Amino acid sequence: MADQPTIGQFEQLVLAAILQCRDEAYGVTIHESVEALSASKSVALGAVYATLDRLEDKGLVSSWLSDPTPERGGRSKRYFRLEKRGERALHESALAARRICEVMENAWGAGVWTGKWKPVRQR
Amino acid sequence: MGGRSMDRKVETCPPKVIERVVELLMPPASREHVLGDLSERYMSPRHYLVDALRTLPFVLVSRVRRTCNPTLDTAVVVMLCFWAVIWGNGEHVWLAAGIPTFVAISVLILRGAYRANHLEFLPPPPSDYEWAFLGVLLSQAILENTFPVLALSPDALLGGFPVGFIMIFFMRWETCRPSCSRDTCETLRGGQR
Repeated sequence: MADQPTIGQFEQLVLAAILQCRDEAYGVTIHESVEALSASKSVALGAVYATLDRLEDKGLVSSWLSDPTPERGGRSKRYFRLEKRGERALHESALAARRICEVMENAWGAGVWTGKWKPVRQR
Repeated sequence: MGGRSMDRKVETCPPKVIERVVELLMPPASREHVLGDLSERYMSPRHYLVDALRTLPFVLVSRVRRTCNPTLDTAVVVMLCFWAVIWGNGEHVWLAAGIPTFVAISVLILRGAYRANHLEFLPPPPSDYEWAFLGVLLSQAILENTFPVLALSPDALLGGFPVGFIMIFFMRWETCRPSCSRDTCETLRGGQR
């Protein structure tokens, strides 16, 4: 566990997107999934590629090229899948996020998840 | 999620000329899948071009990060100091030494990024240094005609090239490190022979 790499927020989104896309996880679908997960923020396709490369270097995901497909100009797709380390890293991130959620609910009540919530300065 | 992109039928493909330009600019290791993804997202020539130009810097920086030798910063300092010492105590000495150093290192970095099937545990090929040499020569020729005060002297060029590049070559050779597991590296190394 000690050598488990730390991951940033965008890396968490990309890992979650790969998980969501399952067997169809390649550049375009991962990008669409990341944009959906990050709500209103626009995400550059290149930023997704750069993050996928970084995650692969960290050993959290692996990739392979498919056979060329005619609808893409005869180009291959680069598919991604989560490795065990990636699943563990995503799981730990989700646990940390859940703990943060619990703290917020304890402090601000269940109304924190409604659209009517507004920041309240802590005294 | 995947279904949304699968439903999007690609009626047209990007113009061959634009696609060819993007293909040339894209690092070979990422070319196949990135061009495929860009084709799949194609809507109009303008959209394709903007999409490609927005994507290219990220892909290039990522390739540079993956292929750049860890001691290149040390090599920059060594080369800079070496050229500065050879050049002597003239005016603008650090700037004059910095220009060829910047050019040489930039060429080496870009050569690494644009090499197909780069294996990080293998030292860069000697042809990289020929390109860096040409880059420095070209920059010096331009400087000679525009800002002669910043051009290196013939002695500095003749002395600096062989010794400077030999130093960097051995520094990069010595610091090649595997970024994959031992077994994978051994397999790939076998495949390279």
